[in-house]
Amino acid sequence: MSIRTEAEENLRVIRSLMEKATVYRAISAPGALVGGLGAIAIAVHGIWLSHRSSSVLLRFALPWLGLLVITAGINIALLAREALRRGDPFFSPGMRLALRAMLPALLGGGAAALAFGLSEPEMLACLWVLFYGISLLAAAHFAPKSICWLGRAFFVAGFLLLACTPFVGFWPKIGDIAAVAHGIMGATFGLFHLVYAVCTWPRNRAAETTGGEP
Amino acid sequence: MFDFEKLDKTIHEKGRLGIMTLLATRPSWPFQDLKAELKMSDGNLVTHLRTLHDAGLVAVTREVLDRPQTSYALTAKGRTAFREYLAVLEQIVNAGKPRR
Repeated sequence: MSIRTEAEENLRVIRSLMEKATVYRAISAPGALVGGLGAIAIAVHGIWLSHRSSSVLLRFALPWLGLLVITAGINIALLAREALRRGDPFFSPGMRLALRAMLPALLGGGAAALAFGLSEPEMLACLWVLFYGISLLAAAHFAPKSICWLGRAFFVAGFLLLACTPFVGFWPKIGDIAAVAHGIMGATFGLFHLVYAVCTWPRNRAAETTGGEP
Repeated sequence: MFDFEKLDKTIHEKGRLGIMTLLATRPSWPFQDLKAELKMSDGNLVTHLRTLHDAGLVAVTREVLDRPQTSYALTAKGRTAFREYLAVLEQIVNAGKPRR
């Protein structure tokens, strides 16, 4: 085998191993904690003020979109700090892979906001839960197990909420539609993210490292 | 003419190249995961890891969480050596390409 063929073969092996082994955690534990606490706070506040007769957009969609912007910003900052610590570029191959996998479903959630944001917050909440679950599951083949479990939880919750709608009647019968929507969001985006943060929070370990700092 | 002496012989061996590649993808790898991914025997993997550790390319962390676990990570020297090795491979491949 010539040295050039050997070099090409080695580069092929390296590329294939790297693609197989790349693991990218798209949601950091502190980011999930902030998101979870924020979601519960908005849900409680929304349910508390659900009797007010302002528009659905103001009562439901805008607070949640605001929280999305804040938590996405915090999560990006945390991921950037972690990439810097490892000496990796911020737009690492893992991040590009994650964005490519997750973006279609996240855009689906955006389209649902345009379709239901002004009139049917309960449907919007169910669709956001479902689309978010699908986006996390789309990253399952290179994400750690915890992200897969989070994706499954959101997908099952979104699926059941939507599938049960015809059997329990329309959501407004249960109560104010904005309050129902806030309840769905708080129970899923709030609680699920808190559980995820607790399960993945970095723990102090008794460790001894030799051979230099990793 | 390309200087083949530039190739890091410690990394160039197939088994060790696989280990270095995997270690470059994550902050650290437990021994059992490395073994499963590379499909190597315990003895073979331990020998290669010891060679890389002795060369200062790999750091070993022994920790106790639920049970004792040994994990491996690239050192700063190891990361640099791996990047340089990749650059040399690319040079070799590019050197053989016909010029336009």
